Amino acid sequence: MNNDPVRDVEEIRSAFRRRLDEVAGVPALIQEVRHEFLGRSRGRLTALLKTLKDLPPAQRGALGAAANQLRTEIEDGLASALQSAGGPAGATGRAIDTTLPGTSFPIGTAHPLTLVRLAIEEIFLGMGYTVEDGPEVESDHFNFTALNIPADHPARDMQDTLYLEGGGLLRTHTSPVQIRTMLKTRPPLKIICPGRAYRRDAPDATHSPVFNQVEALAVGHGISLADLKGTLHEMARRLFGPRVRVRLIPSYFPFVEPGAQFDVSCFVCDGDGCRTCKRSGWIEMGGAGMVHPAVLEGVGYDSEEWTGFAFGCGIDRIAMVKYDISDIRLLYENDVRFLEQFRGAGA
Amino acid sequence: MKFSLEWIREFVETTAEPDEVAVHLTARGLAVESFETAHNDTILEIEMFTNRPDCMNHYGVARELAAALAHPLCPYPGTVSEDGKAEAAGSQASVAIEEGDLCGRYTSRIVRGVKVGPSPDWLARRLLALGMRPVNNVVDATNYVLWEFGQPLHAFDLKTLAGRKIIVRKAHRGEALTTLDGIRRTLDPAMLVIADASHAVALAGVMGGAPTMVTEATTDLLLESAHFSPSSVRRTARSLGLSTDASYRFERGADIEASVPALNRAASLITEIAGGSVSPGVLEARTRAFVPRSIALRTRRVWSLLGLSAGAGGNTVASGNSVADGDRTIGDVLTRLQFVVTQGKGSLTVEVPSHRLDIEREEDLIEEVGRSLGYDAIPERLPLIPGSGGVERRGHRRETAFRGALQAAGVHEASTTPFVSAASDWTLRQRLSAEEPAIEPIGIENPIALDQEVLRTTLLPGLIGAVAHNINRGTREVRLFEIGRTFRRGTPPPPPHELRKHPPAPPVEETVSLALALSGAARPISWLDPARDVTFWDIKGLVSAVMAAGGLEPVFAGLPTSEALAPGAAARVDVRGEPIGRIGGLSQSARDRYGIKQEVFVAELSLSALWPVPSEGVSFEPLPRFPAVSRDLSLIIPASREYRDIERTIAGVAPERIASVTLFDRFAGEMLPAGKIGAGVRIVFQDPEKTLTSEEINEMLDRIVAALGREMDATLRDSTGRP
Repeated sequence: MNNDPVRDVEEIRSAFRRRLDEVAGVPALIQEVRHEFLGRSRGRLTALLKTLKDLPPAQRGALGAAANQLRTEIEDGLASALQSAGGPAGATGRAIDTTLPGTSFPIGTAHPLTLVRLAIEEIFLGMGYTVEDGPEVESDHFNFTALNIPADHPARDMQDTLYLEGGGLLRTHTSPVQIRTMLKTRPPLKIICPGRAYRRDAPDATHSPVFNQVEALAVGHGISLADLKGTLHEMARRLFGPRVRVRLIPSYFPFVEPGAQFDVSCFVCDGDGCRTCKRSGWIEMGGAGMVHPAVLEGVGYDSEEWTGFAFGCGIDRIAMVKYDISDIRLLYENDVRFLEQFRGAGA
Repeated sequence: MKFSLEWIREFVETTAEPDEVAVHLTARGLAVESFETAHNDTILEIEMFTNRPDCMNHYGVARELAAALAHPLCPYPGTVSEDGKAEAAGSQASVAIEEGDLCGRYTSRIVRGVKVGPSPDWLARRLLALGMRPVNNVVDATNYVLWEFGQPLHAFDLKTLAGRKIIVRKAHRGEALTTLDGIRRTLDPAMLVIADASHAVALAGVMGGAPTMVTEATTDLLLESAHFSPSSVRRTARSLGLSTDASYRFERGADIEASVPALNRAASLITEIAGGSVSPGVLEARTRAFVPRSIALRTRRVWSLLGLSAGAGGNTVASGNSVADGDRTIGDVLTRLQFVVTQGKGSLTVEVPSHRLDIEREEDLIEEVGRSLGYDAIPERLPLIPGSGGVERRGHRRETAFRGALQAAGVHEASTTPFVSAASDWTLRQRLSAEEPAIEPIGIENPIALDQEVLRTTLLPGLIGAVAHNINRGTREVRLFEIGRTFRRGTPPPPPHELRKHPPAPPVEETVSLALALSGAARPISWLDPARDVTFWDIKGLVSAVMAAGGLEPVFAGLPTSEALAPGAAARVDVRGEPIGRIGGLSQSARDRYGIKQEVFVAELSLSALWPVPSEGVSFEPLPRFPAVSRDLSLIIPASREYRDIERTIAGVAPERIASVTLFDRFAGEMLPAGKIGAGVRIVFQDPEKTLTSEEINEMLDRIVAALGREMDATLRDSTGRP
């Protein structure tokens, strides 16, 4: 520091101008310059002002005025430098146009089928189920025979199958994963198997040759239809809200006995009848039942000792009902205007 | 399947309204999908399951309704008055079965002196209401009985049967038959036929023949009521592409004991509406006796499988308040369904009636009890199964990390179908190295569309199709990814031990892949930043970032050329020395195939190949204690030099003191000599042990400039950050 405080003011002024030129356009550096000159502990101008009290009163007045003038200059200089750098001017008290659009961070979306699948996986992982996977190209054995659907069985007509050159077929349901899992695991077990399945359906608003299923299988001691019903209700509540109810209606699937169709009370109208539930108050969700003893015996389980339930439902169907999607083809068209609507849907 | 409520009510007395009937039947598993009332009758549309052929007729539905309402079921009117004065049927014709395995029973009656004509109104109306076209009174009567009792029948013109003989045999090689629909069909020896002394006259259980059919000239009939094996009828119907009401029922299983009552009912109905008289006696050939199945039903097993408790307290079945009452309830509901029940201690012996072919074992009876009591009565609970807790699917965590990073980068997840044309798949697939065997797609035998005849070997056809779809609809900015399976000919991994005794897996290799496509602007238009379109370096940077999020470090290497990616703008992605994918700009020819004009950058990575690759572990490094200093160099370098070498040269000067090298500017232009480009590089210096002095930094900069000049032919344009 010089003996002449006024010269000090001039020096600080020119130093500031030089530094401001150096950092032009970079808001963070401009903020650094603020600290360098106005910082409370080390700011150069702050330090000079601290010396004022030691000066004789005659000098104090002139220097005080010069220093304060410089302070204003520095603040203005910083503010305009920040503004032209596009950074915040809040610290200087200068207003910016906060109504200018914020920088766009376009977040991508998970596909609605993924959202539903992950939601179901989470529900069942939480209940201690293991998530299993299996091939989409299957043999006739695992897709049909092992599921109590022998060759020439009329039940094969229920599912129009896509066959592959060189052998094999595209699985018509995810049920073969149940067989594969039981073959490699001793009971008891609790699994779900989500995945794609295929049928030779011409695409229309409600049919797609590719669709997604999730199946659950629980085998243990004394497992009953009551366990099935409770599990379905738990899943439905978590997917559709606390008020939904489930019902079982007798139905037929060769790999379960007793067999049932399961419905969920309409979560839109609470069962009063609306467009979503086609005025019935109920939404058909999938098939369920107690694992057929022939299936258990086929994988070497003692059907006297072990019983189990299984159910399956369409992920596409759940997505369509949950998000009010009227045409299944939208799920496979990948129109960005469709996909974008699922931003935040997993929250 | 359609049913007339009025007709059902002939067998069960009830005043229940149609909606009430619908509720009862639905709760028992005969789902009434709709009903419509017209002309004093209600037509119910009921969903029928293949395992319940016994319900595919009005008497069968009446049986269920009677059980539901606990009302009596009228006995089936399966009797007929014979003409005692007429010649016995047995001396007018004969029946014989040659194929006992395929035909369990063949019964016949002879009706003489009928007058063939239109059916009376009441009968024609009933058939019309079910969607059947009335033909004549004789044929209509047989159809009526089919819909009433479920037994398919056929009427032959007796006089046209050579030798007045019926023989159930296999077709002769080269034998032909013109069926009732007027089509001449060549039969194969696997088909079961009904023949007279010389020719096949009907396809057993499927359709009759034209030469022996009932016409207006017919006066004498031979009525057939038989029982054919389901698989035989199914094979014949399938190989001829023919499905009839008769074959539909035989395929699902007919009641072998229904033959004679149905025959009697039809004969009686014919004499009522077409006149004539029934010759005494039934012609019958039988190879299979009906032995009722007897099943032991443990009542404890019933309650435990249904999750109901028989005794008092808890969830008690309708009327039961003790175990004995509960057991009685089981017996009652089964008896109402015409099971013959003998009560034992703790178990019942249940004899299955002939029409219930679906009841084979204890569990089947438990379902009968369950659906009779109603599934609504079953309580809810969660299974108590010991276990280790939920385990996620293989690859789930990395997939979630990838998905999260991609979403953060503004990429939307797509879902495309795996059915593609062989041509587009061929264009877009690509081997990652010269050593990789040729990729062979799997053809679909019965594709949904002619141009979707193979399974994708790459995710790109679907994803690029989606890009084109969006561009064509005016969305120019498209950022999509898909995680899905691809398929190629290959040897599946050897089956695990537990699958060894099962049939081998098809020769297909399935891969879980991740594909990305970026096209259009790199970021949304903004008042702060200039606009630009996506480039190769965007896809490269995105793939690096996504893989880093999955705990992986990609290395980009050269790639064999292909149709798919623009030559010179493609790279292979390696992880730990293994090729796992590719990135690049879509070639002009590939874009042309999809009609895309703007540039598209794609990447495809095999997630399956990454399953065995562990994530790069994280081991915390102490934060640097001494300050970093950054200096920028502005270089002029020959355009032929690769940036990677510049970076290596710089870092090589003082590997332990150069913390990072970042390219922040790259330009070409008139101010530069031909063949040269300008590059701005920021170098960050940092020493782990001390604060670097200006002298030390300047010394390193000098050495860097010298090394760049020597090795890269680079010169300094000017320098910034130097004193």
